[in-house]
Amino acid sequence: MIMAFDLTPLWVSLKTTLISTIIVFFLGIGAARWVMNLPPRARVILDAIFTFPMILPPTVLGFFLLLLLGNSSPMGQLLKGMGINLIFSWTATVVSGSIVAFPLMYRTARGAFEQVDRSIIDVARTLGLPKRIIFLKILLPLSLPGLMAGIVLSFSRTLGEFGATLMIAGNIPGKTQTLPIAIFFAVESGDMKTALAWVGLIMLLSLLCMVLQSLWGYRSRYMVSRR
Amino acid sequence: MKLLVDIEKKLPRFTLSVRFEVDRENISIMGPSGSGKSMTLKCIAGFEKPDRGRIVLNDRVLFDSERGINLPPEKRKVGYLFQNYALFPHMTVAENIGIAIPRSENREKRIREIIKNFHLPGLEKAYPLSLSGGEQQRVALARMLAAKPELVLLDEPFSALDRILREQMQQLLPGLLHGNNYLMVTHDMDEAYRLSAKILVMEYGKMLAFDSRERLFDHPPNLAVARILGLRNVSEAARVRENMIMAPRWGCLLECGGKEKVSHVGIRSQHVVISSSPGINSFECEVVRILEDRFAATLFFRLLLNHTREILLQAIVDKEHWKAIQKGGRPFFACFPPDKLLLF
Repeated sequence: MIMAFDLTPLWVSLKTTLISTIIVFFLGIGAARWVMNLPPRARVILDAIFTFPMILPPTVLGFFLLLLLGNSSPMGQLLKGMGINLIFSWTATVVSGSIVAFPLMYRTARGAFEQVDRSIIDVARTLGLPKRIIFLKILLPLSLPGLMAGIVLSFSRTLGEFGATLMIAGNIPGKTQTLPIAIFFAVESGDMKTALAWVGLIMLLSLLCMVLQSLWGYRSRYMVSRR
Repeated sequence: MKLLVDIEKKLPRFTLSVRFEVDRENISIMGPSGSGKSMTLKCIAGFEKPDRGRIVLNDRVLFDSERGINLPPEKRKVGYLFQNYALFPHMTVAENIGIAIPRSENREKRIREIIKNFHLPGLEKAYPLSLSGGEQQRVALARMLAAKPELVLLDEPFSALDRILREQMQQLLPGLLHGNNYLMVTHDMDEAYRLSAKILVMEYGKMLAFDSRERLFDHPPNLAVARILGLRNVSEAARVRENMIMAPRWGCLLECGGKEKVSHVGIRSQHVVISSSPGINSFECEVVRILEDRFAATLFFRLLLNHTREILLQAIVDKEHWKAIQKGGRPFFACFPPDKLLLF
C-alpha cells in the first residue's frame, strides 16, 4: 500500500522549500546588510517594505502577485516575451515560497547582525580591514546562531506555505501540488487517509527542523565560547 | 607623532568643542563622566563625525569639514583600545593578531615576533574568553600595533583590571607601545599622572585646561580644574588684609600671601596636617569619620570654631602618624600650611 502511495507532493514540497530557503538565505542576508548601512530614515522605510509580506494574509499576497505577474500585467507580458510563463508553473511555488519566507530571514539576519558588539566591528575598521573582510570573517561568523535560526524559520514557513502558492501556482499534481495543498484537496475530496499521512509527514519534518535548530544553536554557541 | 584636533560637535546635552595640538607626547584626557572625553576619541578614530573642524595626523588630513574630507576609520591609521578590548571571540590569539597584519608582510613570522613581545607565548591557540583580563588586554594591544598605527587611542584602558594587574600593565604599557604616542581617557588621577606628560581636562564638552601634569596639579588654573583633579576642601574666600584671607565656609581666617583678588581657597587632603599642637593656620578640630586604608587614613573633620557649621573637611594622613597623635589624646589641630593653600 505504501508503494502505491503517490509521493510527488513530498518531492515538490522539498524541492520548492530547499530552493526557496537557499534564495531567501542570500537575499535576506544581503538585504539586511544593505539596510543596516543606510541612513536612519531610509532604513525605516525599507524595513517596512521588506517586512510587509509577513503581515499580509498569504491570499492577499497571492492576489497581488497574480496582478503583478499575471499574463495581462506589463511584467507578465515581459516574461511572456522572454518565453517564460510563470503563473501556474513550478517556479511560481518557489516565487511565493521565497516571498513569504523573505521577511523572516531578513529580520532574523538583521537582528543577528545588530546583536554583534558594535565595538568589535569598530575595532576591525581601525585595523584597516576592508568592509568585505569584516563582513565575511567577523560579522557573519559572529551572527551564525541567529542566521541558523533564520534558515530554520524560512524553511518551516515555506514548507507550510498554502495561500499565496495556491493563488499563483495552483494545484497541479506532480508539478505545483505541495504538501499543504495536497492535504487541503485530500480532505476536500474526503480522502482522510491520504490527508492523515501527509499531516503526519509534515509534523515529522517540522519536528526535525526544530531539533536541527536547537542543535545548531547549541553548536554555534559552543564555537564562540570554546575554551 | 603630531596631532592637531580642532572640532565641534553638537550632542544632546552640550556642544563638544575641543582644540589642541600634540607633538610627540603622551596625553591623558580627564573629566567627569559624560564630559565628552570618549566622544573626542571617537571623533579622532572616525567612528563619529564632528559637525565642524579639522583633525590632522602627521600632515595627513583625517577630517576637514571645509574641504569635505572625512577618512573612514580603516584609512586613518589610528589604533583604538576599547574598555572591553573588543577581541574577536571566534578567533584564536594568533588569528586575532594575524588578521591585523598587512598582507605585504610575512604573517607567520610577524605573529611570532608580536606574541613574544607581548608576553603571550603558549597562548597562540587560545580563545579570548579563556584568557585573563591582563592577557586579553595584551592581545588587544598586540592586535592594535600589528596594524602599525600612527597614533594610539586608549579608552579607560585599565578600568576592567584588578589592582595588581592594573599596576603591572601601567608599568608595561609604555614598553609594549614601543615608542608609539598615545591619547588616553581616564578617571584616575594617579593613572593620568603616571602615564602622561600632559593632561587635558574637560567638562560639559569644553576644554578647561591643557598643560603639563606638574603645572596642572601644583597650580590648577581654576576651581573646576582643581576639583576634577581631586581637590576636596574648598571654601569661598575674600582677602581681608595683605597677608590674611577669610574663608567663610570653614569659618576661619587664614594667614596667606599671594594674589590680591581671591574668590575661593582650597587645600588638597594630602596637604592638611593633623597634629596635637597648635601652630600657624591651625584650628582645633573634631574627627567625625575615618576611612582607613592599609597605610593611610582619610579623616573627615570639623573645625571647632564659633561659626562652625556642619562642614566636613578631609585630610589624608599616614596611619602610623595618626596612631601616634591619637595616643597623645585631644585636642587635635588641623593645620593649613600657607604655601599649600590654592587660591582662585
